[in-house]
Amino acid sequence: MAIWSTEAASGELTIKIQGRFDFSAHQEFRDAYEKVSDNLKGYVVDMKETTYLDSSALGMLLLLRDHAGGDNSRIEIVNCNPDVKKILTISNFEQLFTIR
Amino acid sequence: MNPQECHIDLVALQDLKDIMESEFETLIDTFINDSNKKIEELSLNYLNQNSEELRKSAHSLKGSSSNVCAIKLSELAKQIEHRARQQELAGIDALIQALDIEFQIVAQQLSDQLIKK
Amino acid sequence: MSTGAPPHLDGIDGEEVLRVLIADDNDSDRLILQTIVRKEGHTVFTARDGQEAIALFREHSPDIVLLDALMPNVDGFEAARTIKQLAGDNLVPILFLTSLRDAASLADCLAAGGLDFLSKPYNRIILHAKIKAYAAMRRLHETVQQQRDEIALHNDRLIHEQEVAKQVFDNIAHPGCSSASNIKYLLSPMAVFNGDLILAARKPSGGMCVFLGDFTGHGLPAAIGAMPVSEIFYGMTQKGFSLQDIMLEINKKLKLILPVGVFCCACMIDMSFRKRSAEVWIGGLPDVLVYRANSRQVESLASQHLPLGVVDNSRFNIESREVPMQRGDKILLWSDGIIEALNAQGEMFGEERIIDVITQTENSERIFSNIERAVEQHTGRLEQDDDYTMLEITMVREDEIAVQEGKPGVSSIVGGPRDWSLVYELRALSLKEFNPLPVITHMLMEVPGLRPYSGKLYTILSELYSNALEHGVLGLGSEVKASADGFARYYEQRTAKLEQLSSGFVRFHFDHRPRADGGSLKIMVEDTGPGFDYQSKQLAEHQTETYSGRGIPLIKSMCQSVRYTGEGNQVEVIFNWHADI
Repeated sequence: MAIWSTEAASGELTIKIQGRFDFSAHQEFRDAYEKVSDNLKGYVVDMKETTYLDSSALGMLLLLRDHAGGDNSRIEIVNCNPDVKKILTISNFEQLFTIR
Repeated sequence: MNPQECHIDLVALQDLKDIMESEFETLIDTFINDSNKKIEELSLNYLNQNSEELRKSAHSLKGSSSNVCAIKLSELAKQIEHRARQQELAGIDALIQALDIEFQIVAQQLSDQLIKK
Repeated sequence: MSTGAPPHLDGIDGEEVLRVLIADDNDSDRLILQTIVRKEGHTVFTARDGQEAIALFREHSPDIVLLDALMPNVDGFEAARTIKQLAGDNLVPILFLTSLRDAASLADCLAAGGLDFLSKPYNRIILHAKIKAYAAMRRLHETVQQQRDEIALHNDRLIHEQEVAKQVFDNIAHPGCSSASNIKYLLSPMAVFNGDLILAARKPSGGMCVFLGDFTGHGLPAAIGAMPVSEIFYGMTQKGFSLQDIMLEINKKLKLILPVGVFCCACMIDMSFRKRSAEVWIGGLPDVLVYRANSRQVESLASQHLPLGVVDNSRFNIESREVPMQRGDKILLWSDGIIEALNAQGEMFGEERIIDVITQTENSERIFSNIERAVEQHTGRLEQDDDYTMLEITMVREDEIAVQEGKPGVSSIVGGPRDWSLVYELRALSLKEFNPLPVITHMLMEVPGLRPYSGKLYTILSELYSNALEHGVLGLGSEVKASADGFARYYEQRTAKLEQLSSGFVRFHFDHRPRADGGSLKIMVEDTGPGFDYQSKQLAEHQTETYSGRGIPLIKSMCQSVRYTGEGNQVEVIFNWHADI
């Protein structure tokens, strides 16, 4: 598991998660969005290389959403593989995030 | 330093003196008394041809004489210990004799150190 | 045995003061060693042989032991073995004083428990270094031991606390009536600490509600949420609240108490045996399966909603699905544990395998156990090793399941007023500043079995009350509302007239009578307004503005009858209800 984040000039933070996204990623994932500038316009969580996510990962996404302003947040979750997508769908996270 | 010519490592002995301070005299007295007994034991063990006991007394004397910097004495004890371990008691009487003579010299030199002090 | 005393640091150069046992039969050697060690600032105990050394060790339990190997009576090897035994778990470094050189003798020293050697002639610097190193090792060992003991103690306490907590959780989050013959379930005994929860309760109407929840996380944080969920579920189910009301209440509570990122994936099923249907709400759990006994086919119900505790009630969706069910049909549900159970190759068990097992099982009674067995075979482990949570509920005839608390159906509805009447008159001052509907609804809900109708009754009462107040007492015409800006104008007028109100009343007459399968509630509302020409309105077949403006069609759809009497300022509705909706 590894997490990178890159801040684009447009003010958008992209967080990439490689491998299993589970509780062991807790601190790293938080660091990815907490240790960057405050005035971000939006977030992209890139799951292209994410193989699996568990319910604590869903919790972490909710924490990010909370950090990004809750209902006013702009978060896109992109490039999900079918397994990951299924988990997000079961929890109906498309109601809270833009899933592409 | 050549143990054949030198009986006591005087440099080391000075160190020991510094450490022991007032106890130095007691140490020397103890060593001489103790060694007298050990050499007696040693001779007896030889007479009895008891190589195991002979080895032990020689071993003990080797250690204690080394501690008082009597290097030649320690070396002789070591040779006796070695032979006793190999159970080669033949000709060991010469070594014991040499050891006895060496001990007299060491005892004298150590006592001289006390007077010097 | 640890002395517990902190290391004494007043020695030379602020180093730790140790208690050192020296055993050597050679007087001069012992004297030298003792002097050197004392000069290092340590406390020394001396022995002439192994026996004395053991005695001194027992008496003083020193920190470090320096033993000559060859001594009379008890030699150094034996003394070392005894001392090691006496020291038990504590590390007491034993250093052999020896001029032994042969490997076999050195090996004997180590075998007897010695950690190192000091050879003659003694060298102060080496002696100092070794004592220091072994004292440090001893301290390290002590620290590790202390930590080990603390951890063990802590662990014992934690286990005890968990046991107590588990009792509390088990009492509150008990599986209710899940021993009923139409329910099968699998729940690890420590499930509450895995965040899994199964609740089941009979409804006053004879139906049954089941709840399967899966909290994120493990341990106490996952268990805490189970308590309010359970309390709300049992409290409200027993009182006959609807599935929607219960889910709203649970969601509200969880959103309030759970930190962001912790939530509960759940499914609740409200099963009505008489109506042969199940109402199902799923939020965040894997697909719930409906097994059809006739066709042996399986239908999937996918999760439609967010898990509980994620959004507040204003965004929370309580829409449920009505699933018609025949006798023998089953609903099967689980937390993700079973779906995600891995085999040796790291492959998940998955939904397809479950469906295969179900459709290939001839005897539907074996479906549940066959799934269990298939998971066992898949993982190669015994079921009880894992924390799988699974539930099966079967549609049966109500009389086929054991009676749990009281008798199901009508006769279980006891303990409240069923045969009564009441008049409740609200006069001007009350009409101005008091909304009587909550208190009236609350009173009506005391009628055993009527609770599920609270929503309908509230709608009926509020329509009747606003008609009586606004069109009756205040004399507002509903025509106003028809125009574009009418609504606003209507409510301006309403506020103004209400402020000026000094006389008039709205009077409720309630009359409730029990019936074989429920009851009949008559509500008559009269007001001091002039009334209206209800006869011509009725003839016009509900077509006119006024009539529909008064919300009568809505009421008519919910009631047995709606009848205007008197001058049109009295309306009477009959609401017949059945215990099982």
